[in-house]
Amino acid sequence: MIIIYHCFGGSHSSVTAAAIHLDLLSSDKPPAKEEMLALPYFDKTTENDFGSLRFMGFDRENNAVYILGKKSQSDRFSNVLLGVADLLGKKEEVIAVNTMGRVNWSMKLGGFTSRRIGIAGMGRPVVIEGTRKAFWDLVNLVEMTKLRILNRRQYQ
Amino acid sequence: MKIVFLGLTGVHQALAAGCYYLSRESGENLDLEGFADLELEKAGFPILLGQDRNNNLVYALGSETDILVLKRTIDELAAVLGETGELLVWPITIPRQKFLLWLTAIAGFIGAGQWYHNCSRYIIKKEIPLIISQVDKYQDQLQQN
Repeated sequence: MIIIYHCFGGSHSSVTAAAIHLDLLSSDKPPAKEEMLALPYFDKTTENDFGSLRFMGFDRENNAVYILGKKSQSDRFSNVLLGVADLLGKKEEVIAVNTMGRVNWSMKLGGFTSRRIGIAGMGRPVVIEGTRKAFWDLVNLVEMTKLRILNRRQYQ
Repeated sequence: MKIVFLGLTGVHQALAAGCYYLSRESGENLDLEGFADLELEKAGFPILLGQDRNNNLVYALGSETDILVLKRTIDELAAVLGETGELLVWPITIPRQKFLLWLTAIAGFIGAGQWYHNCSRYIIKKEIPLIISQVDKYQDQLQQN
Protein backbone atom coordinates (compact mmCIF):
# COMPACT_ATOMS: atom_id res chain seq x y z
CA MET A 1 0.00 0.00 0.00
CA ILE A 2 1.20 3.54 -0.59
CA ILE A 3 0.35 6.46 1.68
CA ILE A 4 0.52 9.97 0.25
CA TYR A 5 0.53 12.94 2.64
CA HIS A 6 -0.16 16.09 0.65
CA CYS A 7 -0.15 19.81 1.44
CA PHE A 8 0.45 23.07 -0.43
CA GLY A 9 4.20 22.92 -0.84
CA GLY A 10 5.10 19.43 0.34
CA SER A 11 7.57 21.06 2.66
CA HIS A 12 6.20 21.32 6.22
CA SER A 13 2.92 19.72 7.35
CA SER A 14 3.10 16.74 4.97
CA VAL A 15 6.78 16.16 5.80
CA THR A 16 6.07 16.34 9.53
CA ALA A 17 3.07 13.99 9.28
CA ALA A 18 5.06 11.50 7.19
CA ALA A 19 7.94 11.72 9.67
CA ILE A 20 5.58 10.96 12.59
CA HIS A 21 4.11 8.07 10.58
CA LEU A 22 7.58 6.66 9.95
CA ASP A 23 8.75 7.20 13.55
CA LEU A 24 11.39 9.62 12.34
CA LEU A 25 9.81 11.93 14.90
CA SER A 26 8.58 10.74 18.26
CA SER A 27 4.82 11.15 18.69
CA ASP A 28 5.27 11.74 22.44
CA LYS A 29 6.57 15.30 22.36
CA PRO A 30 6.85 18.16 19.89
CA PRO A 31 10.16 17.96 18.04
CA ALA A 32 13.06 20.32 18.59
CA LYS A 33 14.10 22.69 15.83
CA GLU A 34 17.17 20.57 15.03
CA GLU A 35 15.05 17.41 14.69
CA MET A 36 12.76 19.13 12.21
CA LEU A 37 15.57 20.57 10.14
CA ALA A 38 17.20 17.13 9.98
CA LEU A 39 14.11 15.66 8.27
CA PRO A 40 14.40 15.04 4.56
CA TYR A 41 12.62 17.76 2.54
CA PHE A 42 11.64 19.86 5.59
CA ASP A 43 11.65 23.49 4.44
CA LYS A 44 13.87 22.52 1.51
CA THR A 45 11.56 22.23 -1.46
CA THR A 46 11.65 24.41 -4.54
CA GLU A 47 9.15 25.42 -7.24
CA ASN A 48 10.26 22.40 -9.30
CA ASP A 49 9.07 19.97 -6.62
CA PHE A 50 5.36 20.79 -7.04
CA GLY A 51 3.41 17.74 -8.17
CA SER A 52 6.28 15.36 -7.57
CA LEU A 53 5.78 12.31 -5.35
CA ARG A 54 8.72 12.17 -2.97
CA PHE A 55 9.49 8.99 -1.11
CA MET A 56 9.97 9.32 2.65
CA GLY A 57 10.37 5.67 3.63
CA PHE A 58 8.63 2.40 4.52
CA ASP A 59 6.59 2.12 7.71
CA ARG A 60 6.51 -0.87 10.08
CA GLU A 61 3.89 -2.61 7.92
CA ASN A 62 6.02 -2.05 4.83
CA ASN A 63 3.70 0.60 3.38
CA ALA A 64 5.54 3.14 1.25
CA VAL A 65 5.07 6.69 2.52
CA TYR A 66 5.26 9.64 0.12
CA ILE A 67 4.79 13.37 0.38
CA LEU A 68 3.43 15.69 -2.26
CA GLY A 69 3.11 19.44 -2.81
CA LYS A 70 -0.12 20.07 -4.68
CA LYS A 71 -0.21 23.90 -4.84
CA SER A 72 -3.63 25.34 -4.00
CA GLN A 73 -5.71 22.36 -5.06
CA SER A 74 -8.66 21.94 -2.72
CA ASP A 75 -9.93 19.06 -0.62
CA ARG A 76 -10.97 17.23 -3.77
CA PHE A 77 -7.31 16.44 -4.49
CA SER A 78 -7.50 13.20 -2.49
CA ASN A 79 -10.35 12.14 -4.78
CA VAL A 80 -8.24 13.02 -7.81
CA LEU A 81 -5.47 10.72 -6.58
CA LEU A 82 -7.89 7.93 -5.68
CA GLY A 83 -9.68 8.36 -9.01
CA VAL A 84 -6.43 8.02 -10.93
CA ALA A 85 -5.45 4.98 -8.85
CA ASP A 86 -8.88 3.52 -9.65
CA LEU A 87 -8.24 3.99 -13.40
CA LEU A 88 -5.10 1.94 -12.93
CA GLY A 89 -7.01 -0.74 -11.01
CA LYS A 90 -5.11 0.04 -7.81
CA LYS A 91 -7.56 2.10 -5.77
CA GLU A 92 -7.22 -0.20 -2.78
CA GLU A 93 -3.47 0.32 -2.73
CA VAL A 94 -3.54 4.09 -2.24
CA ILE A 95 -4.41 6.20 0.79
CA ALA A 96 -4.27 9.96 0.25
CA VAL A 97 -4.13 12.23 3.30
CA ASN A 98 -4.67 15.97 3.13
CA THR A 99 -2.64 17.67 5.88
CA MET A 100 -3.84 21.21 5.03
CA GLY A 101 -6.61 21.06 7.65
CA ARG A 102 -3.91 20.92 10.34
CA VAL A 103 -1.93 23.89 9.07
CA ASN A 104 -2.05 27.05 11.22
CA TRP A 105 -1.37 30.66 10.26
CA SER A 106 2.22 30.58 11.54
CA MET A 107 2.95 27.69 9.20
CA LYS A 108 1.30 29.48 6.28
CA LEU A 109 3.09 32.75 6.91
CA GLY A 110 6.45 31.19 7.73
CA GLY A 111 6.24 28.74 4.85
CA PHE A 112 5.35 31.51 2.40
CA THR A 113 8.22 33.69 3.60
CA SER A 114 10.76 30.88 3.59
CA ARG A 115 9.81 28.98 0.43
CA ARG A 116 7.95 31.41 -1.82
CA ILE A 117 9.75 34.67 -1.06
CA GLY A 118 12.97 32.83 -0.30
CA ILE A 119 13.83 34.52 3.01
CA ALA A 120 14.49 31.35 5.00
CA GLY A 121 16.20 33.25 7.83
CA MET A 122 12.96 35.08 8.55
CA GLY A 123 10.35 32.45 7.65
CA ARG A 124 11.98 29.33 9.04
CA PRO A 125 11.71 30.18 12.79
CA VAL A 126 8.04 31.09 12.27
CA VAL A 127 7.22 27.90 10.38
CA ILE A 128 9.09 25.78 12.93
CA GLU A 129 7.14 27.35 15.80
CA GLY A 130 3.92 26.86 13.84
CA THR A 131 4.77 23.22 13.19
CA ARG A 132 5.42 22.67 16.89
CA LYS A 133 2.00 24.19 17.66
CA ALA A 134 0.32 21.96 15.06
CA PHE A 135 2.24 18.88 16.20
CA TRP A 136 -0.55 17.21 18.21
CA ASP A 137 -3.05 17.79 15.42
CA LEU A 138 -0.63 16.12 13.02
CA VAL A 139 -0.12 13.20 15.44
CA ASN A 140 -3.89 12.82 15.55
CA LEU A 141 -4.08 12.83 11.74
CA VAL A 142 -1.39 10.15 11.52
CA GLU A 143 -3.19 7.99 14.08
CA MET A 144 -6.39 8.30 12.04
CA THR A 145 -4.46 7.38 8.91
CA LYS A 146 -3.05 4.28 10.59
CA LEU A 147 -6.59 3.27 11.53
CA ARG A 148 -7.64 3.72 7.90
CA ILE A 149 -4.79 1.44 6.85
CA LEU A 150 -5.89 -1.18 9.39
CA ASN A 151 -9.49 -0.97 8.17
CA ARG A 152 -8.39 -1.26 4.56
CA ARG A 153 -6.30 -4.33 5.36
CA GLN A 154 -9.22 -6.00 7.17
CA TYR A 155 -11.42 -5.71 4.09
CA GLN A 156 -8.77 -6.89 1.63
CA MET B 1 -5.13 1.84 -22.08
CA LYS B 2 -6.90 4.85 -20.63
CA ILE B 3 -6.82 8.39 -21.96
CA VAL B 4 -7.32 11.36 -19.64
CA PHE B 5 -8.01 14.82 -21.05
CA LEU B 6 -6.75 17.25 -18.46
CA GLY B 7 -7.92 20.86 -18.13
CA LEU B 8 -7.99 23.41 -15.34
CA THR B 9 -11.57 22.27 -14.95
CA GLY B 10 -12.75 18.84 -16.00
CA VAL B 11 -16.20 19.89 -17.17
CA HIS B 12 -15.23 22.45 -19.81
CA GLN B 13 -12.39 22.21 -22.31
CA ALA B 14 -11.24 18.77 -21.12
CA LEU B 15 -14.74 17.38 -21.49
CA ALA B 16 -15.28 19.07 -24.88
CA ALA B 17 -11.92 17.72 -26.09
CA GLY B 18 -12.73 14.18 -24.94
CA CYS B 19 -16.15 14.27 -26.58
CA TYR B 20 -14.63 15.57 -29.82
CA TYR B 21 -12.00 12.82 -29.70
CA LEU B 22 -14.71 10.20 -29.33
CA SER B 23 -17.25 11.49 -31.82
CA ARG B 24 -15.14 13.52 -34.26
CA GLU B 25 -17.89 16.08 -34.16
CA SER B 26 -17.09 19.57 -32.96
CA GLY B 27 -20.22 19.59 -30.81
CA GLU B 28 -20.48 23.33 -31.17
CA ASN B 29 -23.83 23.50 -29.43
CA LEU B 30 -22.02 21.96 -26.43
CA ASP B 31 -25.02 19.88 -25.54
CA LEU B 32 -22.67 17.40 -23.90
CA GLU B 33 -23.50 15.26 -20.91
CA GLY B 34 -21.67 16.62 -17.87
CA PHE B 35 -20.76 19.94 -19.48
CA ALA B 36 -20.48 22.68 -16.79
CA ASP B 37 -21.74 20.21 -14.19
CA LEU B 38 -20.55 21.69 -10.91
CA GLU B 39 -21.16 18.56 -8.86
CA LEU B 40 -18.98 16.48 -11.17
CA GLU B 41 -16.27 19.12 -10.95
CA LYS B 42 -16.42 19.34 -7.17
CA ALA B 43 -16.19 15.56 -6.76
CA GLY B 44 -12.73 15.51 -8.33
CA PHE B 45 -12.93 12.03 -9.82
CA PRO B 46 -12.06 11.46 -13.48
CA ILE B 47 -15.24 11.72 -15.59
CA LEU B 48 -15.82 8.75 -17.88
CA LEU B 49 -16.77 9.95 -21.37
CA GLY B 50 -16.79 6.72 -23.34
CA GLN B 51 -14.68 4.25 -25.25
CA ASP B 52 -12.77 4.97 -28.45
CA ARG B 53 -12.57 2.64 -31.44
CA ASN B 54 -9.47 0.96 -30.00
CA ASN B 55 -11.36 0.18 -26.78
CA ASN B 56 -9.47 2.81 -24.79
CA LEU B 57 -11.58 4.35 -22.04
CA VAL B 58 -11.63 8.14 -22.27
CA TYR B 59 -11.91 10.48 -19.27
CA ALA B 60 -11.90 14.20 -18.46
CA LEU B 61 -10.32 15.62 -15.32
CA GLY B 62 -9.78 19.08 -13.83
CA SER B 63 -6.53 20.12 -12.15
CA GLU B 64 -7.77 23.35 -10.45
CA THR B 65 -4.35 24.99 -10.44
CA ASP B 66 -1.45 24.05 -12.63
CA ILE B 67 -2.27 21.47 -15.31
CA LEU B 68 1.33 20.35 -15.69
CA VAL B 69 1.73 19.89 -11.93
CA LEU B 70 -1.17 17.43 -11.89
CA LYS B 71 0.10 15.73 -15.05
CA ARG B 72 3.41 15.13 -13.30
CA THR B 73 1.62 13.73 -10.23
CA ILE B 74 -0.47 11.37 -12.36
CA ASP B 75 2.55 10.15 -14.34
CA GLU B 76 4.57 9.59 -11.16
CA LEU B 77 1.66 7.86 -9.40
CA ALA B 78 1.31 5.49 -12.36
CA ALA B 79 5.05 4.78 -12.16
CA VAL B 80 4.93 4.16 -8.39
CA LEU B 81 2.01 1.78 -8.89
CA GLY B 82 3.94 0.00 -11.63
CA GLU B 83 1.47 0.91 -14.36
CA THR B 84 3.53 3.14 -16.65
CA GLY B 85 2.08 3.22 -20.13
CA GLU B 86 -1.43 2.34 -18.96
CA LEU B 87 -2.47 5.97 -18.81
CA LEU B 88 -2.14 8.72 -21.39
CA VAL B 89 -2.61 12.21 -20.00
CA TRP B 90 -3.36 14.86 -22.59
CA PRO B 91 -3.41 18.45 -21.25
CA ILE B 92 -5.83 20.80 -23.01
CA THR B 93 -5.15 24.49 -22.49
CA ILE B 94 -7.16 27.49 -23.66
CA PRO B 95 -6.54 31.22 -23.07
CA ARG B 96 -9.67 31.77 -20.95
CA GLN B 97 -9.21 28.75 -18.69
CA LYS B 98 -8.47 30.79 -15.56
CA PHE B 99 -11.59 32.84 -16.09
CA LEU B 100 -13.58 29.60 -16.32
CA LEU B 101 -11.96 28.43 -13.10
CA TRP B 102 -13.00 31.64 -11.35
CA LEU B 103 -16.53 31.29 -12.69
CA THR B 104 -16.59 27.76 -11.33
CA ALA B 105 -15.38 28.97 -7.93
CA ILE B 106 -18.05 31.72 -7.88
CA ALA B 107 -20.71 29.21 -8.93
CA GLY B 108 -19.59 27.06 -6.01
CA PHE B 109 -20.53 29.89 -3.65
CA ILE B 110 -23.66 31.34 -5.18
CA GLY B 111 -24.94 28.31 -7.04
CA ALA B 112 -24.55 27.19 -10.62
CA GLY B 113 -27.65 28.32 -12.44
CA GLN B 114 -28.29 28.85 -16.12
CA TRP B 115 -25.89 31.82 -16.06
CA TYR B 116 -22.97 29.50 -15.32
CA HIS B 117 -23.92 27.11 -18.08
CA ASN B 118 -24.42 29.94 -20.58
CA CYS B 119 -21.12 31.66 -19.70
CA SER B 120 -19.26 28.35 -19.91
CA ARG B 121 -20.83 27.57 -23.28
CA TYR B 122 -20.06 31.04 -24.64
CA ILE B 123 -16.39 30.75 -23.68
CA ILE B 124 -15.82 27.19 -24.84
CA LYS B 125 -17.62 27.84 -28.12
CA LYS B 126 -15.02 30.46 -28.95
CA GLU B 127 -12.21 28.02 -28.14
CA ILE B 128 -13.50 25.02 -30.10
CA PRO B 129 -10.98 25.38 -32.99
CA LEU B 130 -8.08 25.49 -30.53
CA ILE B 131 -9.40 22.49 -28.62
CA ILE B 132 -9.84 20.54 -31.85
CA SER B 133 -6.31 21.36 -33.00
CA GLN B 134 -4.85 20.05 -29.73
CA VAL B 135 -6.88 16.83 -29.87
CA ASP B 136 -5.85 16.26 -33.51
CA LYS B 137 -2.20 16.73 -32.57
CA TYR B 138 -2.43 14.17 -29.77
CA GLN B 139 -4.27 11.75 -32.02
CA ASP B 140 -1.57 12.05 -34.67
CA GLN B 141 1.07 11.31 -32.04
CA LEU B 142 -0.90 8.28 -30.85
CA GLN B 143 -1.20 6.92 -34.39
CA GLN B 144 2.52 7.43 -35.03
CA ASN B 145 3.35 5.38 -31.94
